[in-house]
Amino acid sequence: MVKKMKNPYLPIEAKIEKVISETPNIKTFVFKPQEEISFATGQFVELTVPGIGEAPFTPSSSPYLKEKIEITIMDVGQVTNKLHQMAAGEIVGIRGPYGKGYPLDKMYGKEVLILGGGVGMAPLRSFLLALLEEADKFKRIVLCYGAKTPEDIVYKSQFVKWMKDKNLEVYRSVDKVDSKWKETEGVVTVLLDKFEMNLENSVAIVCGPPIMMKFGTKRVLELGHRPENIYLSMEKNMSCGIGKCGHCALGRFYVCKDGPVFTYDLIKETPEIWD
Amino acid sequence: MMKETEVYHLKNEDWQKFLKQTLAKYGLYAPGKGLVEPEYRIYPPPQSSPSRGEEIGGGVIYGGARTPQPLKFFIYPPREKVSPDQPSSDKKTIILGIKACDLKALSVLDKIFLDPDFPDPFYQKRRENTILISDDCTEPKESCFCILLGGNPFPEEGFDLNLSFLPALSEVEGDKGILVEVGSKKGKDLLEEYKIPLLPAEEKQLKIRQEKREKVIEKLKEINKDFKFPQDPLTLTKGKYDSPVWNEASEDCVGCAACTNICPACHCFLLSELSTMNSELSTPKFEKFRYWDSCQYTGFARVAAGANPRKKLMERFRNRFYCKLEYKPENFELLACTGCGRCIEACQGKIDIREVLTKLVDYKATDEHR
Repeated sequence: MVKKMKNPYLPIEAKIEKVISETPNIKTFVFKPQEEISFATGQFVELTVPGIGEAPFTPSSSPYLKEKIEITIMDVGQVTNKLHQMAAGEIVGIRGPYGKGYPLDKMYGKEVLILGGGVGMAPLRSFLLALLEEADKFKRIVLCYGAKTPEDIVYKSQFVKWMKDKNLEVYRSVDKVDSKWKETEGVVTVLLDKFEMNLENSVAIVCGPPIMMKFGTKRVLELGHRPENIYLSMEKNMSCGIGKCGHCALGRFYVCKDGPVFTYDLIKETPEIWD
Repeated sequence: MMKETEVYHLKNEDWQKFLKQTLAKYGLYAPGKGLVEPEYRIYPPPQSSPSRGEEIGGGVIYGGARTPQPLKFFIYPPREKVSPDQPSSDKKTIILGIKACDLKALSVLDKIFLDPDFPDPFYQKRRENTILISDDCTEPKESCFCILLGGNPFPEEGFDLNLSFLPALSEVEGDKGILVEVGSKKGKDLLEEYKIPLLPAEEKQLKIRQEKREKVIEKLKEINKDFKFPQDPLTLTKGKYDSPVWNEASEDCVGCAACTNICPACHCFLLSELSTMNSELSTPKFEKFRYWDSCQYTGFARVAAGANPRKKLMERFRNRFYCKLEYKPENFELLACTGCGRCIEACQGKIDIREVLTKLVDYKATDEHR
């Protein structure tokens, strides 16, 4: 008798509980899955919009939040465009979690630099919330975030709280300022010159659009962070999520199974990482 | 350690009797007469088929080379619904006429689809319900090159049963017939289920098999005498990522993906969404289909925001080589090219993988002399 196997392609239902508008093209969705989906921060899920398609997303909520999952989504493609038209009460499909998340245990006792750009703050928010949950275990937490304009900054109200959090140092920049902007002007990497870190005992986490990943990592390396202590979130076309369909191949790796979080050291020789 | 092998001898007529008996319980795919060369056919032919009436035994073509269709067709079909149900069919199937190159390629698919972290229930079910009966390649094609990649034209593992045909015209009774090698419990059970009269193979018979096999290797060497491959195939692409050969070799590529579709080891697919809303309950019905896809297509690796790691045709062309000759060996210790040569026959641009790799090797050589 062959045991009935779990079908890994099949999503479960998740109800949209709430939609929060972050920027003109980014919204955060609060989903309540039919069954609890427990994930490690940095892991991703696949969302199905019935009749349209499926796409991978890394939750932006804390892994400690159990019954609900929050996902911050930019309107860029077919699936995300349809999602942006959906409202509370509607049903989507969800499956996962997949891949390897951030290895928090390797960061205990260290200075943690978080470098995020644009909607790349979404997985970093989950990571940050996980860190803050046990903030005493980390020597220091520094968050650097850059966006195109002040309007494009995600999690505006949460940043207000984070900036007051004594466990956290927050630096922000925008490429194009407006009259009200009092913080830094420029690309996110300029923020890295504003403070010093103990590079003997630090990790750096980088997540953002491809160009920011490239220059962010380059700058972090120049500053002396070690390749094995730099964690990159490589978002490729993770379609099946389970290491079979081949779409997210990154050299010998499948980002869905071997990542999406990689140390720079592991993939530095791999071609096409910044494309 | 020597692999323990079980080889038996049986008469042609006993084999044919056995095959007929299995039809009551098993579906059967076997190479039969095709338009140009033997192709896979279903036995017995369906009612509507004009070739109905062809007898088993008479219709099945053994030996020769691999068929145009790769083995993956039967285990991993080009289109398959992968939700919401579990695989439905319990029909057991025997596939005859499989050659060594296809068995090796299947072991690559096994690594992907039977990955213990996420086994694919559809693949697994079909794999469990299929009995693989291979036979020795006796007439390699001009495109065949298994020996250049460390392979042999006769199956060494991965089969349930393997057949080697002794010369049919021999005067000596014991020199005729079939040698059956048992490769798995499944194969052994099948032989026992039908109580085939078997005798352990004699030394002399094994020697005849060996001589036949060596002759085929000689043929393959002759076919491939113009191609220079290093002893260790794993060095073929090492350090050649930026070789100008990739640009040159991909000039005739049109990105049609015939090479990956026909490849017995290519496994990439598109997971497609046909789900609909159930309007009465206002809950979605998730329907997912898996279609063969190809890394040769422009948008294969593109993400929604538009970034595409392999925008250029040359990059996609090169990726196929690296996936097969470097990435798969690094991950699974298996080459994902087994030298079946189907891609050579299928290519619109007449690109011969052997020529590309020979050029790549040559380039290194000239480079070193500089």
